[in-house]
Amino acid sequence: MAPGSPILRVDRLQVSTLAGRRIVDDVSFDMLSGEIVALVGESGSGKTTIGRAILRLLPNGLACTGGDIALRGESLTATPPRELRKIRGGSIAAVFQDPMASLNPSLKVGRQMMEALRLHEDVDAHEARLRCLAMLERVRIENPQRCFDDYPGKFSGGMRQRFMLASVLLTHPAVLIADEPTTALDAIVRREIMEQAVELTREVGTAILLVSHDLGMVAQYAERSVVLKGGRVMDQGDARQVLLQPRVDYTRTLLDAFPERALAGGGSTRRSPLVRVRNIDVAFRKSRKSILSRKEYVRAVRDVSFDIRSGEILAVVGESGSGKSTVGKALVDLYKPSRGEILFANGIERSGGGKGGARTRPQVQMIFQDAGGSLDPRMTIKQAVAEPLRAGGIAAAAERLRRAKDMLAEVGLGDDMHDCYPHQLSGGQRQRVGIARAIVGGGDLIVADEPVSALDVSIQRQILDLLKQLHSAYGLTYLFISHDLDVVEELADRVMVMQRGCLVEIGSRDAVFDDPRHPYTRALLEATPRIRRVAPSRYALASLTNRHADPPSGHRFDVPAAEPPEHAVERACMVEVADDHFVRCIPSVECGGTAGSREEADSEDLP
Amino acid sequence: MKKTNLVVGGSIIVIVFAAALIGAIGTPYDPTQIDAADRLAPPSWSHWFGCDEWGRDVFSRTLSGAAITVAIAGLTTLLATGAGTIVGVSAGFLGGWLDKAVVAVMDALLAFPALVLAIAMTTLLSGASLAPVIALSVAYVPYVVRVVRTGVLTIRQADYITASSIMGNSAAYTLARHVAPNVVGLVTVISTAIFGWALLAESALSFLGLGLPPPAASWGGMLSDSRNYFADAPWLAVVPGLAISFSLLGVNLLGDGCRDLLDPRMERA
Amino acid sequence: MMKYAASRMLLALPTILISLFMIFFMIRLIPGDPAQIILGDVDDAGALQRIRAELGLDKPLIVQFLLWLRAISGGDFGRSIALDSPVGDLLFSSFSVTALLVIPAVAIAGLLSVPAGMFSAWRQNTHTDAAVVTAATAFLSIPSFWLGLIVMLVFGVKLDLLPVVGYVSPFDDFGEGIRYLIMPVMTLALVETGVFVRLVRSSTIEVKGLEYITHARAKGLPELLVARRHAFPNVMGPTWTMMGLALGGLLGGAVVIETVFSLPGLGRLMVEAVFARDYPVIQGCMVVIVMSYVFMNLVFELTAPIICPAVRYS
Repeated sequence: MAPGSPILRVDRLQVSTLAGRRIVDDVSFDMLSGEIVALVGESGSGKTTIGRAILRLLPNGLACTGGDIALRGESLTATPPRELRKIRGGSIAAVFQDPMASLNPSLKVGRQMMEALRLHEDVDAHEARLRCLAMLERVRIENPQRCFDDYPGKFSGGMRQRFMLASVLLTHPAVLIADEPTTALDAIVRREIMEQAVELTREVGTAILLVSHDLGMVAQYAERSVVLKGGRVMDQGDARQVLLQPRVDYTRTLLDAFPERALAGGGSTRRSPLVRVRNIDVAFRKSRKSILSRKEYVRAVRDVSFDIRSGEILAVVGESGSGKSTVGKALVDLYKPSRGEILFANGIERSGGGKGGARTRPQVQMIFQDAGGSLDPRMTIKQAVAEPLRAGGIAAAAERLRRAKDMLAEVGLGDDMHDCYPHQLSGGQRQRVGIARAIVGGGDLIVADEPVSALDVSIQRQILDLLKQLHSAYGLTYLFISHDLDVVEELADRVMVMQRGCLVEIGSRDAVFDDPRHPYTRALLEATPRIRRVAPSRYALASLTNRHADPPSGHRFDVPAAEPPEHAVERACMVEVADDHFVRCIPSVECGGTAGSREEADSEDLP
Repeated sequence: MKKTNLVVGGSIIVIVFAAALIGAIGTPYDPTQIDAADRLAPPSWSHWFGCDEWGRDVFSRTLSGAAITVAIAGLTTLLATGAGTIVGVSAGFLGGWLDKAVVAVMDALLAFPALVLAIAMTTLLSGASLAPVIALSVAYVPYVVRVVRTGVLTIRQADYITASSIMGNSAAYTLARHVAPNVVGLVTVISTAIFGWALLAESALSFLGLGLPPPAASWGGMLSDSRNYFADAPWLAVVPGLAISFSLLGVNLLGDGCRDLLDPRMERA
Repeated sequence: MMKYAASRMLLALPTILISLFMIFFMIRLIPGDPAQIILGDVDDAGALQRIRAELGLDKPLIVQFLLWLRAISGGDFGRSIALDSPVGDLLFSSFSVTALLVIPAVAIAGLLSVPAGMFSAWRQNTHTDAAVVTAATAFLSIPSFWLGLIVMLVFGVKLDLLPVVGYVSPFDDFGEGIRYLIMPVMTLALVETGVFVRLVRSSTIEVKGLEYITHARAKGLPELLVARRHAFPNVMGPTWTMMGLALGGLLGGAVVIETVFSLPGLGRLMVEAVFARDYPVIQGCMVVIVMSYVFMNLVFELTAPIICPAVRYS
């Protein structure tokens, strides 16, 4: 093989359903040795199918109907199954999206790791074990011996994806097909894994075919990129060029759909608080392993205080398990705080421990991440939207339906759809129904829990626009819970950052994004490659502007403990580092400053 | 292809129900009429399925048996599913100590194989005309409760139930408007299964001599009686056996069909 | 692990107690004097008095229950009215007959159905699959007592290969004992195979669609190894539990087969006791049936993690 010739060549590949519909249509691209090539596109673009076609593991009902795939110049489409198995796992390896599902729960991690190695190389069990352990160390697994001899069940998604990465790279494959390898992971872990993958493949000389919907990540890590839509190649070339200086209309519309920070800085105006959350704790009982073990509680939210100001969009960001959704559910009264209180502007109070306040629900409504799951499958969307009006006290059914139809029209669903059932609608349409239902009753506060994270970029754009339009039209207040910093940057007036159940930073959007102080906020922002428009049709990867943040005088930043002792005394408090910008700190000198600073945080905005 | 099970199973059940209807309204011969001249007569034009050891027409007895079996299995299904659904839905939705108590009692009942429980119940109910129905209903209620309760627990986790509570709907309204309609599918599947089990169990009870007392015709009883003659009159064993198998096949196919409709994952291409 | 086992056993305790109470209470539901019911149609004032004292009829119900529990835990199930012998002895001998029938039948059904079900699922939506499913559904639809009669007619009467009815204990005469057991065991095994195959097939279909199976293929493993190493243990998880349920249920519920083949098993003993209104025997049979069901479930539940490690984490 001549140097510079492609290691993998996909030539006019066609994949069709049995009915003859083309899923992949005339796709051609080359991969050079050691190069990272990305396949990007929205769902339905055929990017995953191409990956599976290279492995010749197409799902039932799909078949390769034309074109060729060649590894080092040798065609794979005609290879007999026995030869093909030598290539799979040997020369071409794969990592899939869901780390929770791609390890067999019934086989020990080590056994699964050694499988491909022992199949493709002539090594004995002892040597295989040593090589696996060495590789686990390379991906920074702390106790490789123990992990090796354990079942996958107890490990987190990030750990499992590390196991996967380590095990596929053991055989030094020429090509690694990585299908959304980090989509299911949190931002900081995602970055660690991507960096490790890049570093290791550089060492081994493996080329990565990165299948992803995440344009930011592709721009950050890929060398070349192929943009797909409906199974066809829209554009390909140098990744940054293709994505940051788009040449074709499709890429441009895709990037235009990207969330973008509005020029007017949000959150600077101080409005009166609609809801005041004071020192709430939400605790759950741990599911017990056996009836003999004692009851244990997890504090999902720890001593969190904040205000939601009338008419603002307050975003809550954090990783999974940070307690951000729990805060939202406490606001809609699904969870009772075990301590602290939630005070509404109209004087209704929900205190910790008490059972009161159950009748205050209608004024706070919720939009769910999974809009489909939040709609009763046996109700037409018209009935679903009319439902909150019943509890809201509108007696006449005809009147409720009339109002529901008006609301549906307002969210862009025409008359012809009003009698549809949720399963007949697309994801975006279902979310419109969910939004209509949340707003129709005239609630003041809407808790939106990841409302756009299940949607493709272009649909996400439409829903975001709808949310913004309704926000200004009805003067609504949103608590917007999201892990997606792009979306938060566009929408939020203020942002609160949560980590391990604690609030670590809260401030105006501009302050949090441009001048983050808390180390966790900074890590989060650094870990997320964000594409930002710099000029018409020119984009750049955003990076942190302030290189370093000093703690306020007399304090140091406090990172909440992962599992604090049950009755630990909270010494941390929120300190105002700039106007309306608070960060979690601990007084560095032991003195009575704690109470004072907490009061400082609490007293803000109190009338 | 996807609906084959439903269509074939449904057709078989229609035929069985039609036979039961004819059996209830009027059969070609009186199913209990003894006629010494026709003793063990083989199948012929006048007696399609032959005659038994008392000279009774087997075809008429089969139809009459269909009426009895379908009636008992049908009543059992109604009773067991009705009671089980009410208990299962309340336990699953209300939770708390009620749920714990229901689960404990149902687990205890499930520790008895259904047929054993039914046999034991018949000793308590001896003589009562609906004894098999009550005995079998008691035996099957725990199965319905378990399935319905699990279903309700799953539905309770669904976001649309959360949404209903956020809207300020009362628990009773949520139960009636959102939970109940969504367990209907589940209840359909389990009731099909119960009908099949009850049909089989009724035949087994009659086979053991614990069903309706003679001379009432029942498939299990006919099969039991045939044992003394099966070298000379094999049709006596073949006809009721086929009748039971045919009905069960219909129920099983119908059940599969219902499940495929509700759980499309199983038949995905 | 020990903690897990102990907590499982604790969880089974209420089930055992409630079901035993139901059995105990059943006799009290029959109209008439419980002591007379247990004694049968015998006019013996002395014996009646003695049984009354044994049952503690003058004491509260709960004390009576505890007295009864103490008696049965010592193996004292009373005397059979019809057979005039200790119920405990009858239970022991008939339970061993049932165990000899049911355990081999379930084992055979398991050995037949796991490969058949997995194979069928692996060939999902092909003719092979359709044939296996149809055969399984057919066996499921044939009542065991009819299948037993047919088997008996063919192998016993027409071909005259095996003895038609009766029972010789294999502990007395091994060869002859086995000959008597072949037909009932085969009949029961075929019926259970119909149930198991469908279950194995549907759980294989579920497992087969999971990502780790695709991943095993992407490693280059041959199909047979994918099925054996990656699918098998995860398919066995639900299957194993279900086999335990079947075994536990059949130890009492094989009454029909026992009747067809005239085997002196537990179910047969109970039905005959029902006809004879022999209440101490009915009670004893039900106790053994419930206890064996709970015990079998426990055994299978505790061994499940060995067969399918994934259940530890679910």
